[in-house]
Amino acid sequence: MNRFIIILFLGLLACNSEKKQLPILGERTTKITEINGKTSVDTIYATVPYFSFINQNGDSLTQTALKGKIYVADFFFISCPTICPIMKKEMIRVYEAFKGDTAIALLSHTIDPQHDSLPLLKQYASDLGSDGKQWQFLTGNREKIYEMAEKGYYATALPDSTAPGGFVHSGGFILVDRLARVRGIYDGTDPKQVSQLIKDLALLKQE
Amino acid sequence: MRNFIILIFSVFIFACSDNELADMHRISNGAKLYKMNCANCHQENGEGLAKLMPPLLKSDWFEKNIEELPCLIKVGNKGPITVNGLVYTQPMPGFGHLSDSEIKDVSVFVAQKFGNLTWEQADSLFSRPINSCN
Repeated sequence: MNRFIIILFLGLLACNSEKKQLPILGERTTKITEINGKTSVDTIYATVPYFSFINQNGDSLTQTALKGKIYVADFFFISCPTICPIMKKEMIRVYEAFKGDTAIALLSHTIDPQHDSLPLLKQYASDLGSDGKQWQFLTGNREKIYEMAEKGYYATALPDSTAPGGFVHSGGFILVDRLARVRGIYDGTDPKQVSQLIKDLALLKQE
Repeated sequence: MRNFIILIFSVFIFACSDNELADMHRISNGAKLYKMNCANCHQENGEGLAKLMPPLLKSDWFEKNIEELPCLIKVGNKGPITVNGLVYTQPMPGFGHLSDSEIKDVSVFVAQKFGNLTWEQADSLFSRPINSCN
């Protein structure tokens, strides 16, 4: 009986020492290589495609500049009367939780680049309390932004004349790791999910 | 016991006049309209959003401008607006798709919830027809 209790105790300790890891989202493929007759199988995970956008200051921001950083991406438009203000309130919480942390960035992409000019984006960033560096507001070619939303971040962003404000987009906050892999998608309008994102960001930092 | 509760409840319902029931409907309608049309930006508790959306709660705008509230809701606001010493530049869309009675209900709700007015004061303040908005 005593032996059983000891085994159970050791089992529990083993469980506790196992670190929780976030899943890696997206399709994966395997790569089989053979070196000196020895076969090894590697898993190749999906990564966010290369991008190059312009931030609210008119500076270019590429994926290369974010190398080694964890970041959270979302999509919005300034005149959005529905979910954007709620998402921005929640993104402020994420920003405040990691303010000044150079390992973490926040990228908000406008899906209405025609209206959301650089001066408007700059004003918007400043009104939200962003320093303009850690939390950047990105614009660029409209089609590229939509493509990035869909293929890179599994999000929706499309013009729709029947939607309030003229666009539909998902309210997701997408968590991307240092290797450009999507590790989580959270509902940016749900405070509970955003609290989970804040916890997961801290977890991801330890990887 | 159950019958007794039903009896008491019925007495309360019958005690309300038609006018009181209509008022109760308008109060709940104003709250519902606020949640649907205003709370995304101004938040449910009226505290606004950073320097982007002005607060309604403890807002000094109400002190001098409260009578303009129905028109502000109806046609929106394009220029900058100063609230509690801060200038807010984000335009506010108009809610012209709401009927005049809906605009009144939501105005009354906002004025009594955030503007320090009683429901009766707010109701009488917005009793005029909304027809001369610029």
